[in-house]
Parts: sequence; C-alpha cells; structure tokens
Amino acid sequence: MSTSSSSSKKIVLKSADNETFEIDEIVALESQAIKNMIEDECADNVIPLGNIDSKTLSKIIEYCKKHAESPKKDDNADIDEKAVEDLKSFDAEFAKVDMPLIQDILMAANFLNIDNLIGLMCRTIADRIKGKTPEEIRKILNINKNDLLSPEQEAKAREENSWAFD
Amino acid sequence: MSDNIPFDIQVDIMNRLPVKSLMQFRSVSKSWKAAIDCNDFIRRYGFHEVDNSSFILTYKLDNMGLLFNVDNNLGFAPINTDLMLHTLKPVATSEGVWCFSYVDNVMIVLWNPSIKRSVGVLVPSYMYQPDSPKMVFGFGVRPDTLDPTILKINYPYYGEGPWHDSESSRILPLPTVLSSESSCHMALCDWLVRILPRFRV
Repeated sequence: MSTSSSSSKKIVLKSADNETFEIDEIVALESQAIKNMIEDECADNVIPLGNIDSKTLSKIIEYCKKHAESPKKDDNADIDEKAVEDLKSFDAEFAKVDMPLIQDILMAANFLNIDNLIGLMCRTIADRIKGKTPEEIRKILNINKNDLLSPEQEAKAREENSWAFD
Repeated sequence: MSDNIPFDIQVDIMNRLPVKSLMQFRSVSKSWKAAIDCNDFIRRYGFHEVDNSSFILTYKLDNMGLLFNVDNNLGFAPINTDLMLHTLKPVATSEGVWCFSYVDNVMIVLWNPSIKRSVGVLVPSYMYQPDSPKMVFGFGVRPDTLDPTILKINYPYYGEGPWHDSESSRILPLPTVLSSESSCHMALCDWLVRILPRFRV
C-alpha cells in the first residue's frame, strides 16, 4: 500500500498538443488500456495520445496518481475509513470543473479505459443535467440534429409521460 | 476532443438519473427515447423499489380514488398516482409492480409507479364461464425471469365449502382478503402462485 519507490519504472505520455508527461508505471496502470499495452509489450518509451489534449491529460494523471496511491479495497479488509473518505472528497473536488472539461475527461477516460473515472464523470454529468430541460440536454451533449424527434413525436412523448389510465 | 460522447456512455449517464428526469428526457432524441423505453432499461429501473408495507388501502372519494401504504403499525402513507383509482380494485403488488382489476374484472391493470407506466390486459373469457362465474385474481413477478404473472381463478357460486389443494387434499384458507373491497395482502399472490396453476398473459 505504500507509494511505489522512486526507482520504479517510468512511462511517458504525450498529449495531442505534444506535451509530455512522465509518470510512474503504477500510476499509468490505472488505465486498463495502457496496462494492456504494457503487458503486450506494445508500449514504447513514449505513448502518444493523439486525441487527448494536455489540459485533459494532466487532470487524468492527477486522478490516476491519487487513486494509485490510495489503498485499494481488496488490499486490506480493514483499511481505515479515513482513506475512503479522503478519496471521496478528492473525487468530489476533482469533479468541480466546467462541463466541456468533464466531457473531455469522460471521453479520454473511456479511451484509456479507466472504469472508476468513467463512473465518476457519468455521475457528475447526471447530477448536473437532472434538473434541465430536454432542449438543454441536447445542447450540452451535442445531440445530433438527425436524431431529434419530430414535433408530433415529441408532443406524444410528453403526453405519454403524464398518461393516466381512464 | 469535440466528438460526441459514445452512446453506451450516454446510457451509463441515463442509468444514474432519477426516474422523474428520465421520463422527461424521453423527448431529448430518438435514441434516448428508445433507450429509456427499452425493456431492459425499464427492468433495471422498475424492479428495484420494493416497499415494506404490509397492506395497500384504496378508497373512493367522489370520483377520485386514494391510495395508501399501510405498515404493520397501521401507519398510513399516501401514494401519488395518476391512475383513476375509483375504477380499480387492488389485487396485489410484487417487486414494485402493482396489479389492479378494473370494472368488474373486465381488465387487469399493471402499474409500475417508479416509471409511471401502466398497462391494461383484457381478461380472457371474462363473460363466458357458466360453471364458474366467480373469479379471483392473483399477481406476482417471477423472481427468476421478472415476468409479471397474472392468475385468474374461476369458481362456482355454490363453492361454499373449504378449498382443497388438489394434490394433498389439504384444506386451504378461503381467499377472503381478495373479496374485500378495501385491501389486499401482499403475501396473497405467493400463496396463489405456489398452489395453483399459473396462467400467463
């Protein structure tokens, strides 16, 4: 459960805007996709992430660092509650960013296959959109115009929601 | 990254929305509507709310009907519903789905309060059962398949005596609770499902 020693293997990630980030391998292993690459020995010294910008990537690394350092649940049955609480409040703080960045993090987490982070971002988005109108949802999630209901279908969907048996 | 969030992740987001928002968001897009309406989705959503009340009480007030949960200590909690309750008689509730019979047993109405959906099922052979004109209903959601299962039992007018289990000849308690207008016991459908042949609609 201790932080890995400084002699641990390093991995370099390169963002779309060509910024490089050197991180401990154990941090990179939070990403199932990178883990697979390393296990398959497909990872060179530098892993290029051509669809993730540096702003998003640095957030992701911040998340992975914290979660890699935290004791895992299955490591030790009685990890103290404080660590769990600590991670919870970290997650809450971490999610306090604007909606475009949340979505970028979500897409990147999906690409890198970081389950916990996908869950956190989905929860955050759900929390933020639950009180909004369908119109606002379309804008926020950039719903394709071709996928919209016709005015008749929309009226029908609305009517069905208040449908009562009589 | 300006691409759209992949749809399976959008569904993941939907899964974390409260039911009330979800019903409104059926009009977000065709894909959202299809996902929210699809059975799997409703199943995951609809069958969670199992309440611990012992009885459900309905009563008529003018043209309105009122619905209450009644717990073991006879505490009353009103239940909000869009159903026109004055025409409905409760049969049973199981796995969060409610079953009512409608106007002299012409139709069975299933209601899932957590998604505010109801569906009516016509009762087959409603009119023509000359030998056994009386009927009772049972309802339960099968725990293995989550199929809502409705039972109809016809019995003759002259069936006054005790009911027997056809296999063991054991005397069964009469379904007196079902014949009462005002309440239905949740355990009843278990009782029916266990000993009588099932009938699926």
